[in-house]
Amino acid sequence: MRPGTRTSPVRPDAHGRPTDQRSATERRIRRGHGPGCARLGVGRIRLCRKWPGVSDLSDGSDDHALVSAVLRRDQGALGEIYRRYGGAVWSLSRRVCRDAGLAEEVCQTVFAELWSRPDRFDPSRGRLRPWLLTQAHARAVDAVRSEEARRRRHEREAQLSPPAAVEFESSVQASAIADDVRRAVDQLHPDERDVIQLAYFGGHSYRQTAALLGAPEGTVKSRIRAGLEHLRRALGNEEVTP
Amino acid sequence: MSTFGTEHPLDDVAAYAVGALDEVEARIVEAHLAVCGFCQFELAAHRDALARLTPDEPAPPALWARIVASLPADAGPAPRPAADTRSAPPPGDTARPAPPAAGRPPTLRRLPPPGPAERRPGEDGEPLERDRREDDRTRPPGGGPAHLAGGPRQRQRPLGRVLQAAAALVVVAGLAVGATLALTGDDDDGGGDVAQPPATEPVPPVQQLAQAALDDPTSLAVLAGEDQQPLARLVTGDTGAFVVLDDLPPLPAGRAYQLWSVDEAAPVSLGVLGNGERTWVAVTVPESTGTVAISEAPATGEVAPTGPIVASGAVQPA
Repeated sequence: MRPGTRTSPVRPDAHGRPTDQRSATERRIRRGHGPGCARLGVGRIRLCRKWPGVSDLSDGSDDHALVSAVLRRDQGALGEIYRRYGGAVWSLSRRVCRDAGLAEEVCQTVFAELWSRPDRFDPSRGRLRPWLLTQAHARAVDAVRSEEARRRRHEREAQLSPPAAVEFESSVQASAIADDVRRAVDQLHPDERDVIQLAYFGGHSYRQTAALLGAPEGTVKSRIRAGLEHLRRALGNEEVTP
Repeated sequence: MSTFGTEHPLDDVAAYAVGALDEVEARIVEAHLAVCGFCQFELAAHRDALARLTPDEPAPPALWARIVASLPADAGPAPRPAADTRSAPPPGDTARPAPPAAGRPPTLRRLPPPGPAERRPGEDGEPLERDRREDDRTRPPGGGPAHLAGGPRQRQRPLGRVLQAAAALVVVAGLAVGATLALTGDDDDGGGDVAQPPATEPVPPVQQLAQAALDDPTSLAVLAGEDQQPLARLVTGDTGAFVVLDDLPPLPAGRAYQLWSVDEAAPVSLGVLGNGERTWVAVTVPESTGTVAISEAPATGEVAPTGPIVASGAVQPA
């Protein structure tokens, strides 16, 4: 604290507690919150120890209910969505952007747009987490491309980033990944892992991925599909197909 | 190019799911997705798997504050219902559009609904890449990088003039939060020409006004901590509404106390109180406010409290 800024007549004593160096009225009020003061009805003080709404949201509300609450301009709901999925949105943005500042910008855009246009999320078309990640991925790819374009203008040289397969290994081995997901990734063929890493976490187009791996473009697409299908089976979320 | 026509373009749907198609190819797949439930299902299942593959990592602590600061500047209507004459309007308040005269606290956080939902073809929930690109050109105000110290609303304020008027203004932040103005300088009771206050006359410090309110309070809330120890007071009187931070320690840089009404289903921000160095803070509190609480928040404020309740208490008529 800067000296002299605390202009209150309530001077802290040696224990940092305020002392009674103030007007009689104020002392009267101050005493008011002591036990037995009827004038201010302090005995009826209703303390609030839990934020209303917030705990309810974090306890049980499903994502659809949260988005509906955002639609009703409930800011607590946006906070709860961020609490649930902000980490994943951040982690994907950071991987694709490979730049913390750019990634923060992406996250900011994703949540600001959810706030502005929550109606764009249609729960009948999928879940909220994948939807947010899809938004983040597209934003991140756009951000990287415009950043690369900007750099290209300066350097007159387009440079593809080197393969980041190692990062994929580390990202899926992160403690944040559930065991079943790690096992599912382990079951993937290395070729499938590489294309998913480069395209999804690396933000590369399938053409760039093909160039980076020295593989035909059609093959890269097939591997992406095979990898995703294997992943789905291994994760056990293969549902009845139409 | 893979299978189009009678068969399902499953390779392209997969490449689309990981965002690896170029724009033209993406549009072709989107056109197919619009009419093919099977491929819609495949896409959703791919995205589910990718979402599970994406690890959760702790985001930078400042990120949420940055998001809050970027929410549209019109997101927070003025905290004071028009009918409320109890609370003194802070200087600079006139720069803001008049709040809707709803007269109840929920208006503080019931932000204007998003603009008319002009649904574009194929947009009903499906995040098509084309739409996302279009959205790039229609980002909400403040969608770009925002510096915590200078959010959109802060830039709009006639800060220079207010400061010139010797009002030590702590503008605040919870940019999307309704009540975002906490005044630690002076106040012009009754809403005079606060945009151009007389620069020569010494204005009574907020402390004097608060003292006057304490001498003849209309209502008082004693905010106590967990151990029932009183830590702060919220007093309302003829001179306005004030928070007295009796016993709350100053916070480190970048942090601030934030006042909330906790009467609703979710906390409603009543403004940021500064970092605790100034113990007298003018606030704007709707008359119907029942229970209030103080949290510790980023200096910019936040739309919903992320920290625990520091102190709370009920507003009692004096």
